[in-house]
Amino acid sequence: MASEQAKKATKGVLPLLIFLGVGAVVIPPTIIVLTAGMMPSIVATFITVNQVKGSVAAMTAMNLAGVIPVVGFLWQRGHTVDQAFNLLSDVFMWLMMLGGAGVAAFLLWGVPIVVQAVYEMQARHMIGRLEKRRMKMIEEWGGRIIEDSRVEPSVPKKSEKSDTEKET
Amino acid sequence: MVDDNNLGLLHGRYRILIQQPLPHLDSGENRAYKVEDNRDGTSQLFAILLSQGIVHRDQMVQDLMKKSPPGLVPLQSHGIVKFSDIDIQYAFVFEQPLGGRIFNNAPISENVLLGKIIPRLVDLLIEMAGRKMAHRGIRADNLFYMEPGESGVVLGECISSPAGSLQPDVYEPLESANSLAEGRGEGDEMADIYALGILIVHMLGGVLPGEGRSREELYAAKLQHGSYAVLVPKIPASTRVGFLLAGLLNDDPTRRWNVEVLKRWRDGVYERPRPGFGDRQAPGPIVFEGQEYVSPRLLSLAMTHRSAQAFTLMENGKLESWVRNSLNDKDAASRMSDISVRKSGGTRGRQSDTQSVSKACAILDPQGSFWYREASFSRGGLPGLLAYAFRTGGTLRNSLGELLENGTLLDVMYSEVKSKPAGLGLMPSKKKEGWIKLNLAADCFEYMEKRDVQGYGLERCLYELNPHLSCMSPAVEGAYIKDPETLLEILEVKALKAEGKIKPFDRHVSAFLAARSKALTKQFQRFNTLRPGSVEYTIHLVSVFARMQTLLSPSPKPGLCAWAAHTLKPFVKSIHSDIRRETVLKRLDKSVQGGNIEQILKDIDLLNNLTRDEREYNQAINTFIAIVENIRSLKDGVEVRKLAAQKYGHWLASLISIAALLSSMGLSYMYFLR
Repeated sequence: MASEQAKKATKGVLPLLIFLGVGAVVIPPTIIVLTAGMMPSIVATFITVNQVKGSVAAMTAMNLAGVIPVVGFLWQRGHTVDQAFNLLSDVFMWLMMLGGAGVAAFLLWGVPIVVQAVYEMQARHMIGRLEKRRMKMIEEWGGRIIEDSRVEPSVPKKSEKSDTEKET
Repeated sequence: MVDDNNLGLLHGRYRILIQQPLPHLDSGENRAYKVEDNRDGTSQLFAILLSQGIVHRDQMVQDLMKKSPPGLVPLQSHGIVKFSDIDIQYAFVFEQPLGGRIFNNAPISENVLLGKIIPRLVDLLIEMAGRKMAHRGIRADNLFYMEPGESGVVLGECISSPAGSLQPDVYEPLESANSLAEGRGEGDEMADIYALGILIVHMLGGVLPGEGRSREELYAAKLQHGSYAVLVPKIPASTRVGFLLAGLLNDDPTRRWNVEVLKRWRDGVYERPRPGFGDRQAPGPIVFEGQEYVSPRLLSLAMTHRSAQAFTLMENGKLESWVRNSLNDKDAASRMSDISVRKSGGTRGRQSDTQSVSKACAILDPQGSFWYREASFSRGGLPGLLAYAFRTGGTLRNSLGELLENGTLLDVMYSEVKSKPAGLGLMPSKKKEGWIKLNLAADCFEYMEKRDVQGYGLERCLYELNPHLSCMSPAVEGAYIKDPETLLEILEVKALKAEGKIKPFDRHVSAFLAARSKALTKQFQRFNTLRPGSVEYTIHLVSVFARMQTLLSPSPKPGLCAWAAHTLKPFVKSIHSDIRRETVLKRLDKSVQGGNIEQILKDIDLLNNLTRDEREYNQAINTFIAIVENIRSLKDGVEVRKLAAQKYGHWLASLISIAALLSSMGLSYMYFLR
């Protein structure tokens, strides 16, 4: 199990290392900014191994959205290692890069809560409808159906099962 | 509804005064009552009301209504009388003998007897014999003076009970002496002539001849010594009476005085007959149970007492050998050898032994009674005995049921058909008279094969063998039911009074209906395939009554409709759907008011409704289970929903993030590269 999880975690690392290796030779300043700016995503990739994939993707995308303008400034102001370190020493640049990651973290925390709230509302509504239908059946067939439904085979027929499933 | 003025009125003329019984004119179990004649206030009449289950002599009634022979208490009328809506009786109205009984247990002088009583009876016997009628009730206590002052000798009635059933045992000739009283059969004029002889002995002696002896003791004594030797020496009789009795009491019907001899005797030509000496004797005896027998009929009697030992005698071949060699009766020996004798055990084995012994006894004593366990009857006596067995119940009924079911009677009858008349010891004319009609015996065998089915069994045999017997069902409470129409009407009245809470159907009712109405026979066969108490059985039962109403009495039957509703309601109430149940109940209540049973069945369409209800209820249960399970899973599914929300939320977040990424890339492109 542990080896499988390690394999999963390191699966996307090899292309990244190749990219970083080649980039470090061809475009070292960009690689420095990217490495520093994408640190939250790199950390998220390793600590969210067992969680849903969407969270890493969201984090990476939002993080990258913050890093791209910084890379733009690098290329505009001169693509040198000094300029890269200059930019990294600018707090606004850090705010831009880490701000994207922060927004991603906020989305990953807030959106599921909103979705769950919607789900709960739907479930309450469905329970209400099913309770109404249950009461209607008791009215039509009498209280005996409650007793009989306890002794009847609990495996419903295919068609009926699909009908009720559709409703849920 | 019967008009109150017509209650107790026969044919609008004879009013039966049920509050004025005449016990001295009772006839067996039938009670006698005073009668008022609406047209003739001076006439003195009495009526005999038929008790339930008593078989009356219908053919005799028809003959007497054509012309009543002089010397017999005149039958004025007969028919069904209603005392209330449900109390229906069959009544015979006779002229009342006002002079009372002739015999009061005191000896009557020979002069009075031979001068006044016997000639009158001889005339009557001659008249009846000419019309092929047998009275079968000639006995001392059935003789009356019609008028006060000891004039007008008449013989009492003989039609309200089975022939000979009220006779003391001693009055019966050997042909029926060993039969149970109700199974003595119609007999013929020779039985009357024999009874006349006993009557003379009885009245001259003042005591019942052979009093204190059982039926079988009398039978054995008559077989051993002859009736004359057993009964006559004990009375003070003149030579003239002695000759008369020797002629009348000859045990051999072929040697007994017949009507022609009686006519000559009446005209003063006296013969000197030789008295009989009992049964024929074989030259060599046969030993049975340590006793030697030379008379086949006495041996037959002994064998009926010890059937197991009798079977052993048959099994070792001694009996057949004795019949062949000592009795020199090849035909009887041949028939005896045809009887299946095999070693057997258990209940069926014992039954088989009894069958074999019964068949052997019928061969040894073909003129006497047929024996089977507790049952013993003469030719033509089975129907009356069967009715008696149903009145009293017990082992006799079981014996008769067994006899008809196992085919013993049929075997004996077929065997007799094949045999020579002389072999039976019968006159050629007697050959034709069987124990019952052969086709009826075959039918009864078939009915007994289906004895568990409604409309069949021993009850069916009872009503087929007794075509004029009233329905003996407890449901009719003793009312005289002559046909299915009357039965339906009685049940209707009873049901109406009890608001439908009656049980109008039992084995007697079904057998009675099947026997009296052939149109319903097929309906009863279907009961065989249905389980009693099931909805199909109940619906079929109601439909039988519906068919009866349609066929026999189409007038409205609110009482039976109430019964039908009462019977069907539990099944209607078992409908699960409240809406459907209420609808069907409303339809049922509405249909009942119409009085048509068939319409009820059509309106409620119960079987279809129940089937649909059952199907829909099963579907409803499955749906209900699914709903309950869904509610439970929704209530318990918070964690699942939380996980799903997280997955979906993250997916949404990633979408937003990618959108933001694309936006960032687009804006950067526009800002830095343009």
